Amino acid sequence: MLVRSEGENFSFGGDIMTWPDASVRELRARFSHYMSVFNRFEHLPLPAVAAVQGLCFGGGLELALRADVIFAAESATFGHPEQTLGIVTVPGGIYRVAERAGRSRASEWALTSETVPAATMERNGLVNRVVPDADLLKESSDFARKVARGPTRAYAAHEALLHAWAVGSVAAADEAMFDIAMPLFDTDDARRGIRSAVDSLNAGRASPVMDFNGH
Amino acid sequence: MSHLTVSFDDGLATIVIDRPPQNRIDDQMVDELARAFTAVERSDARGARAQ
Repeated sequence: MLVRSEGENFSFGGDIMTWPDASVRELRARFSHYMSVFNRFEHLPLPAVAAVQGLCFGGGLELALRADVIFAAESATFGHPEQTLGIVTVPGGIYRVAERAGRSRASEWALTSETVPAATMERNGLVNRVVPDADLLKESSDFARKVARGPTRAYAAHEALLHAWAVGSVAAADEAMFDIAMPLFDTDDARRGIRSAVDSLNAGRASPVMDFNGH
Repeated sequence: MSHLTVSFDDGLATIVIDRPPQNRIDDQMVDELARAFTAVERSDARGARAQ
């Protein structure tokens, strides 16, 4: 799955125009809904790639952070402008930045609302790959398409393991491991993949690239 | 005007946010995202099936 935006910017973030006239109760209901929808994105059982160009701020960054892999155009910039409004990263930004880039960076960027270049985000692990602006669509689409042709049941299982680790710990992920992993051994992809690798080893040749079907 | 599109092509699902020039997120966009995620879950996009 690929998530991208039309135009010069991925997203400036939340549309704040109606916020001043809304009650805190209304805003809470609204933001709670936003978070649950964003989290559904995070939990979709398929690999998700976000392609980011231009500005990726606030809620836009929080949406991109729900993807498994982030590609960024060279000129893309990221930031949490919330402190300029006197609020926090409501749909769950700061700790998702910390999860990828570390706590000290997450604090710094949230405290300063500074505009962070794509290259810095890549160096700190928030962005997977920075590509030339003109190549963003092709590079991110090619990657998403290649992944979509892979053993996607295994990818979903890897995502589930990372979620178990993120909400718990290494020990929690170990606890979940076999319930998540063992059904894979009954999949067509794994049966053929393992058989092919063993046959190749027995024949003394390199394993061929498998034609996985997602079943 | 819808704020995004969702399409399926050869096992790849693509969501394109389209609310220029700033692509700001409002109630309508979040509701459309929710519908798009449901469409992806129900589709035959690769991997979009329960374990």
